[in-house]
Amino acid sequence: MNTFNMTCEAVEATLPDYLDETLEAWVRTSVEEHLGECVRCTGLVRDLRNIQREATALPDLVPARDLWPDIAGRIGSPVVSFAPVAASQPVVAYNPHAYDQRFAPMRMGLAAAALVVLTASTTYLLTVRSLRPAGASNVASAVSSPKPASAGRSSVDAGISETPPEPEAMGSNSSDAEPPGTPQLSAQSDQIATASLANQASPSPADLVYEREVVKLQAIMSWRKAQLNPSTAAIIEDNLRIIDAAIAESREALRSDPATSMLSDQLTHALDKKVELLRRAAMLAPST
Amino acid sequence: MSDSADVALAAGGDRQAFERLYRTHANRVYSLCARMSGSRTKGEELTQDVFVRTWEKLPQFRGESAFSTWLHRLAVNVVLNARKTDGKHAARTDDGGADIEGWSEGTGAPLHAERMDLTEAIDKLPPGARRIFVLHDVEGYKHDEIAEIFGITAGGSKAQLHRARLLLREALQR
Repeated sequence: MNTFNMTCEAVEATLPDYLDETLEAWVRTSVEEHLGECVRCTGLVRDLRNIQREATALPDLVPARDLWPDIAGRIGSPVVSFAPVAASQPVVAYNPHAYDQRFAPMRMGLAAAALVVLTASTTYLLTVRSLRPAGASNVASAVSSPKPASAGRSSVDAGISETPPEPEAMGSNSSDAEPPGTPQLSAQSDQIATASLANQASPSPADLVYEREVVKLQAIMSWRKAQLNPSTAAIIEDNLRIIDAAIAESREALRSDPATSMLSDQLTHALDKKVELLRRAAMLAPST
Repeated sequence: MSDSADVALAAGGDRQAFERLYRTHANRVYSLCARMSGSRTKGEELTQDVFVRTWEKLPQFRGESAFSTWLHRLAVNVVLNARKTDGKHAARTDDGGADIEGWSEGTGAPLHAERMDLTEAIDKLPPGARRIFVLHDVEGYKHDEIAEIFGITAGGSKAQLHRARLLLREALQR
């Protein structure tokens, strides 16, 4: 077998293949001849082999705590079933295996809208309850007072509440005003939502549902903005602008090509994102 | 009970079966996540993400490979996707392997590093080098598999692995 004299540099260049035992036989022999004469390269090969060996034999690491409770909590997050009668069904545990994924786009849209209603309403309820001072007036009065001077809160933000309901429009100032979700508030949200969709030729029921929930959440955000860190609020506004642009683009594209389910999905996705962002923003702790 | 029985039960929504799968595979998944991310804390977060993703994806598991293999590959994907969304710092320092000339920020110069064990030294490797080293030398992936995962050539994977080993050698002061 022909071999040749190799320099240290040449040997080092072949080491990955040498260690993986993928060198051609004659090159391997040449490397081994060099290793027989060079202490430096022999030491290098020995060290690299030791690292390989130790790495292969490394024992599994063990988490410092049991992660299962957190995982169980996450896979147990309640969602509405995607069954056709989703809107009338109670909340069920999340099971990705329990539903058939072959939905028509319209059905998917309605199911997503139902989910939005549930999550947004829950957020709304939790948020206004958590913000209500002990012994103070009820939720509707809190929402209806976006500039409560006594609490030192500032004005409604134009960015977050791009279509903010006027304070007067959100309900009575009376301490006996109705809680969220009452027909009065819902009706006003409907009116605002309908108005904001006025430029659409025929807004779908899902559009109306989304818009109504967005209006509600924007009302909360308008009131809560003064409690948030200004940079956080600015980030939220920036993201809302991006999402709004995507929504507008999707709607425009759908007008030209209403039969494309991908565009419909895209719009639903963007609306979901907007509601989710508003929902999460409404749940942020003060000064986050 | 075997994995396959629990996989079938879990795919049908049985959480107890899924918990058994978690108990069986948690340490291996955690090891991969912690070593690839270089952080025990991040490893815990990623491990949770992996199992949540597994729960979601189980109905798509066809049994064409062993569940452990499928889970492992899913874990690698979760780790790599997390890398892509880890912010500006990650974008600067974590380029999938091209940054292996130096060491991770704040870890000190390897030539003068104090003696450390291999696990610690792996954690301190630059992210790109660390991931390829973990996948190849610890987890037993082949270069062509790594090349496919990272979108590089097998030769690139080989070269980066070699440099990672050299960096480890320096850190271990052999």
